[in-house]
Amino acid sequence: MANLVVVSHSFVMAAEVINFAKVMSGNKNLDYKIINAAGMSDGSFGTDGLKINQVLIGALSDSEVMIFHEIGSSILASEMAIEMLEDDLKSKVVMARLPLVESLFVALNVNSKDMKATVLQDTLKEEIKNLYNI
Amino acid sequence: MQLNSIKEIIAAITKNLEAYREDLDGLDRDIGDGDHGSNLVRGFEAVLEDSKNWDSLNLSAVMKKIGMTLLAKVGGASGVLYASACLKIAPSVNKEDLQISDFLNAINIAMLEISSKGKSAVGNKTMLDAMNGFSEAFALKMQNSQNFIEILQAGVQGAESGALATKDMVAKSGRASYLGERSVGHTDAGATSFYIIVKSILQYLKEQQ
Repeated sequence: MANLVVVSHSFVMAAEVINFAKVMSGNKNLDYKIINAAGMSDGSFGTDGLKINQVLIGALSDSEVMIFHEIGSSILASEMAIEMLEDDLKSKVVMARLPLVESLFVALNVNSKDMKATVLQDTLKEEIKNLYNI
Repeated sequence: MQLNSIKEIIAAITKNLEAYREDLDGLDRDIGDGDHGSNLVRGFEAVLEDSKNWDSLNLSAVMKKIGMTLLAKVGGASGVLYASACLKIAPSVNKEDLQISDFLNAINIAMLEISSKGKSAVGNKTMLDAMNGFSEAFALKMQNSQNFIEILQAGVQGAESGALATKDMVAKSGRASYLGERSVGHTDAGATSFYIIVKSILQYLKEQQ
């Protein structure tokens, strides 16, 4: 099972992407967490690497983690947050490196209790290729 | 170096970044998203606030603190890059007897870390160009001077030249890279902020003389 962490410059956008993915995938009962780690503590646009790091530590307590992100510092700050984890935890986090909206939606359709984060990423890649015929 | 001097240097950097906030935002607006100055000011104001709790910390621990605060408070890619540089520099300054060469070493460590994190290189129109200008000029001056301020002044001039040279470069890293040739004619905001930071350190040390 992988818990899903969303990192974006905008907390509001991340909240809505999470809402979108839940609604579009039928509001199923989920046996994993989806956590919004977007935005800055003062509410402004941006990413907070320290907050992402803390969210990862919490999310890793019972599962592997996949990070869904968008551009620029949402990638850099996520990478930094992973680097700051204890060595044995680092390998349990996978960056999606896929379009945020589409990949989170697909994840909610395919993620399951038994799925490894790396397997989830491979599945997402395939599904998004199919989605856009690329 | 005394803790109090470090705090005063942070205050000097914050003050200068505030003075240049509009200019840095403007440079960033030309070829990026227009928040570089505001982001850095927010970050350094938070560092300055945090510095009230630094009592009895050494330079290495302070660099760690600065890195963590910048990581949390700047918000943009430049914040992650400056933060990771501070965190990498921290262990290299964990000693009592700091030499002039340790300052150069710290900048070179920062350059390596920023190149690796930002997947960038000198010549790509980034802060690395100002850092490289600083490093080369600082190292050159070290060969015929033992005066730290004189050497630092050469480094700061090198950083300024490096920052100004980004104007004619085509951006190959960061958001400006989407503009390709259209990025030519605009000075890089990150290179400029690095120049402002090292210039602030120099100004402070000169005032203390």
